[in-house]
Amino acid sequence: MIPRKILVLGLLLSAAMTAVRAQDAFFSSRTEAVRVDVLATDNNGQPILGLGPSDFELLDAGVPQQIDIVSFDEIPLNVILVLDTSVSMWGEPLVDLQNAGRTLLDGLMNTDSAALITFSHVVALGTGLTTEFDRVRSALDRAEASGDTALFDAGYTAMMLAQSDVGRSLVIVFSDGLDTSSWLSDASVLETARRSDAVVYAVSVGENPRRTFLDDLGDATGGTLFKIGSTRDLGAAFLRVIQEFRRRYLLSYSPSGVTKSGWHRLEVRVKGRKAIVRARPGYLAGATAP
Amino acid sequence: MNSFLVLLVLVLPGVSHPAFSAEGAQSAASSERFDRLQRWLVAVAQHEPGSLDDLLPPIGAWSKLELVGMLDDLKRFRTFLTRASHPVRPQTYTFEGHDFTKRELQELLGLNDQEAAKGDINRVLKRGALLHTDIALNPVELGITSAPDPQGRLIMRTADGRAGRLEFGMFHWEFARLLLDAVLAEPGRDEMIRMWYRATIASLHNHRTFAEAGPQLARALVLFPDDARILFYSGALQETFASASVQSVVQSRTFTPGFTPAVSSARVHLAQAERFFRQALKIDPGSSEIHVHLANVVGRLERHQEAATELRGAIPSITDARLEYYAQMFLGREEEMLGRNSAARECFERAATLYPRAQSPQLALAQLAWRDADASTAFRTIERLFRIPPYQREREDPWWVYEAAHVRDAEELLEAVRAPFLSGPAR
Repeated sequence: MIPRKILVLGLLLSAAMTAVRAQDAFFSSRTEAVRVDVLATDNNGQPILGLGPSDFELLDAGVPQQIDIVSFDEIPLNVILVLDTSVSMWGEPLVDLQNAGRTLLDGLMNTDSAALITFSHVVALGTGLTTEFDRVRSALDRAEASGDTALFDAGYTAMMLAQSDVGRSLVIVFSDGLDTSSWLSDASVLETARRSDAVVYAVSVGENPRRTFLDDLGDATGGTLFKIGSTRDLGAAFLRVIQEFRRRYLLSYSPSGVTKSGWHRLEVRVKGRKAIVRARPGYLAGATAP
Repeated sequence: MNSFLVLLVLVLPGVSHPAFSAEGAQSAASSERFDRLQRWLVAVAQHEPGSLDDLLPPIGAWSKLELVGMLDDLKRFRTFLTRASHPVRPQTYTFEGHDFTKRELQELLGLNDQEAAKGDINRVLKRGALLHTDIALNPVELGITSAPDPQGRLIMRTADGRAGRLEFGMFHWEFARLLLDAVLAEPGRDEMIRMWYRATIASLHNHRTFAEAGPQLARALVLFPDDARILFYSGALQETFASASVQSVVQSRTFTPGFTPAVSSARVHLAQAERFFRQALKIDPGSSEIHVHLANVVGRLERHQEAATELRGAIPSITDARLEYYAQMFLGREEEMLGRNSAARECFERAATLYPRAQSPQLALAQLAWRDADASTAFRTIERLFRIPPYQREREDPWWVYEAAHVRDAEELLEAVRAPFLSGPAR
């Protein structure tokens, strides 16, 4: 079981939010548990199901750890949708995005929570984490396409929202382009991601052969980036994300034999069989140098 | 934001188009030549600079060859008028089969006796430049589409960091420059021309028409190499080329062989910006605005100590709230990079005081708290941000308009250039 030594701050992220379970940061000095969200797949890319704690080996900075697996019954799922509503999404793409958001909400369970952040150069909280999905649907309906793209600022805000709650966080970021107007740098947002236990699945549209921020954000959190050809494919992509996420394992452990602060490199393996494991490469604890 | 359009220059070698063929050249020298010149002179005389009238669209549709040919004719008229003041020189000028007396040419050009006596067509050239400025500034409103450019300049229209359609460059900016280059005696000493360059560059930057601002600045620097404002504008354009809004276009697009984007890496443009800003400061060392821009590029070039020193020196003399906001945000960023989080926090808090609804200081403060492992402060800060209504006007973040903040006075500058041509002797 995951230790619940997380200080509740009673933080309300907006007056419009309900069902908010605001908490302190998981990696603050007041917490002891580390959570690592893991996807194990076979050589065909198919998720390996039915694994138990004894099937995993986890090294924190090279030191083996005693792990537990937390089920979805034990810890609620928080899905934070972070959607690009910049001017390039004007027209049909925005309609596709709104429909895809509704498709995703239809695929959630009653016990799950969802939140919506939309961004152009303005980062806006549509709704905070709530189990009342109609509120999220209404916020989706209100979205309008205009302005530039503050992808880094929005990514950072989503991390904060994810970290404000004790639940298991899945951040789904969609953007059709690159950042054009953030104050925060990509490096600072990636650093925040490394200090977060949220998993980011990103979805981008269009051809960009170069590696982008969304690739890095996925890698830093143990998630991934799905590239799609058209916004018409967004609904399917969002469902694929949620289906894959539900096949992940949430490993938990209380670090032992390692320093409390700094970068902790993580290695996760499945014992006794060939498996491809996707998990965050490590985590940052304590205050950091620039 | 005022606009989401950015224009970038591309170079396409070897473009050929029927308009530039020998037939095209012959067409320019056809019997319509005189009529065209006459229509242009009437338009120049009647057009009120700054207004959009029916005189502009037909001229806006003329080709480069037609316009350049007309300027050559004007120069020849001037030469004749100058020489005709000498009694032994020919007293008539033959043009397109017509013999013009000096008086007839004076009337055609709309010159007063004093101007005609000296062969001074400067006023016509300047009014012409203002007419073509109005065309170049308002092609959409005037329904003018750009004609193919024989130099192979293509312009990319972009929005939100994404490449859009390609267009041919518009010749009217270049023609306005050519008209002013023809002003005698030295364009580089003419105050109206200096003001025109400052105003039009500011306007082009303000409208994010960067592709046209580049050549405009290049010529301005030749004519006015010691003008601090023009040097500053040059640096600011390079700074903008290094920004995410421009770099994202280049990074997200694979260019077809033969097309070379006129935008290089951010680092190249930042280095060029630094050079221009330092040149400008040699002439105008007291400009806080230039110091702030210099500090931004130096910081982005990862010379954080130097950038912080520059900003600390500039801030005490800043009186404009928006400029101080930029200075505090940049100094906060540099202090943070230097590991002085407490000093960084003070800067971001000062910026937040100046613009309480701005998004960026709140994000910077939250990120700083998170970095210090102070999650509760980070959350509270984000909470504060989310309480501000998510509309651009409500958030009022000067960071969003930093790239064009230095040219907020573009319209006033244009009006100042036009004013003498709306009333007074130049009218």
